[in-house]
Amino acid sequence: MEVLTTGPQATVQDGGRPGCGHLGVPRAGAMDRLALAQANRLVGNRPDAAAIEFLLGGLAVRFTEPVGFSLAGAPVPAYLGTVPVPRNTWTYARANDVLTTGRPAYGLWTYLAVAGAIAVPPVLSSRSTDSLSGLGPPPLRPGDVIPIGSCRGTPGTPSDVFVENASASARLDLEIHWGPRDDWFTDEARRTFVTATWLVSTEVNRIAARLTGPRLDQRRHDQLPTEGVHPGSIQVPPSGQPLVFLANHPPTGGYPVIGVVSEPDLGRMAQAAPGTMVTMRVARPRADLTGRVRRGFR
Amino acid sequence: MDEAVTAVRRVGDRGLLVELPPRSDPHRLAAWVRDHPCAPGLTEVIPAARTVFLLGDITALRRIAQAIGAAKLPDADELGGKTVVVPVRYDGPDLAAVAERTGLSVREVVERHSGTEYRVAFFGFAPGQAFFAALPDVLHVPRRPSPRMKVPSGSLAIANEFTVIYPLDSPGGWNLIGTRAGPPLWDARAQPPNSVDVGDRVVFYEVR
Repeated sequence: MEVLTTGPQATVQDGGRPGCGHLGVPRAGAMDRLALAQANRLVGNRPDAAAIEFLLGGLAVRFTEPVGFSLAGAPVPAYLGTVPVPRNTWTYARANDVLTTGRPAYGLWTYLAVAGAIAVPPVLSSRSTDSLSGLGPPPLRPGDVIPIGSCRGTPGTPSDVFVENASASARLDLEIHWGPRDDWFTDEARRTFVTATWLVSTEVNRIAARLTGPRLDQRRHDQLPTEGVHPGSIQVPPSGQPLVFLANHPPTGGYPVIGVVSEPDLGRMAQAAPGTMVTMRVARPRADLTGRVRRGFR
Repeated sequence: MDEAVTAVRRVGDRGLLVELPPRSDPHRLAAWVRDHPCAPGLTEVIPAARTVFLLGDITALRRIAQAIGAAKLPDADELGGKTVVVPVRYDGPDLAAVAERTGLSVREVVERHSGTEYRVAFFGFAPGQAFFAALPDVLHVPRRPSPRMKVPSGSLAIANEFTVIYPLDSPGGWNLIGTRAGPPLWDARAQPPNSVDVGDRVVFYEVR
């Protein structure tokens, strides 16, 4: 498969590099893992196999051999030659067919999966481009020829219910859990955090999305020693404007985390375009995991 | 447990942040967690300055959280750890500035830096960037006022209480005092990619 155009950004992504955080290695991997899994399953690949992730459409490729492919995620208009290609289905391309894509109607990230998956050499067991630390293949450029694996599964339409993260809605309601450092903020800031309407800023990348809105003040002014962070952590630097950690977040951080986005909502956050209005909804408090140790603290 | 855990905080859907008191060794707690029967249910165990962060299956987290209060942590000596000798050249562009700031001669800076046994405290900032602890107090100098846009990989640097070797070309504000003279300590294509691990002892050996 040859890359003809990439749009603003196109990279190879898979399930990422879990388990290396203690070595300073981010997980990376697809921004919208549901869409990656969907695209892969349509062409018979493992759900976390390597595919092309591209931002805001504009990707064009020429298939150098006959192959099945699928598109999932942000809905881009797509054509194979001059024939429109539907999303979320399996399509067969002949050798030298050209696939072009336009700008998505909504959402940010689209996935192009091919039967056999992208077969660039893995680094630390993943083919993901790590945009924070530079591990994995460099971002795709026009003229790149991408190898496709030969291990083909059975393509078909997945039979289970299929949920999409990309949404045409201008509002996004995020479920969050408090903490682990919500106690570093004033009561006023905690209240503001869950009552304000936040706006997704234009500072959005594979690492994080910055939200703009009222300032969240901290009650403490000492520095938090660096600590490990959960995907979806909402970190608040001294500017008072929250930052939501997305797929390529650093494994550790030094600013207090006021709350963490529930995992099912994280893909929806990743697909939210700048200008989307975001409100926070606090998840039902959960049972304490620890009993004995935790009593008396916090 | 001899070092009381000061808090265990549930984080997000499947995280646990275990806090230790100042001057404790999160590495020992991380080693205990990795030996726990439920450790296969964890995807990440990340020791940092004063915490150990766990990410994984909720049942594994619950079992580990419940056992942590009675945990018998391994002694730092029991953790073993190897001694790694790292050949370096003391030829960094900030060597003279560090000498001036510390009131030592360049030769004394080199002798103090190479005459110490360091311990790998944790990894951070960039993949494979090990933070070596136990830098002599006299060499504690702040970061440069303005970071360099590009520090070459293999640079030996100091700032505050740590010394590091930059694993990749990257921006950086640390004081560059030398260059790695042997093979890299981090190779993403090797298995494992890191040739030093947390808890290892590191000695810098001066190559002229």
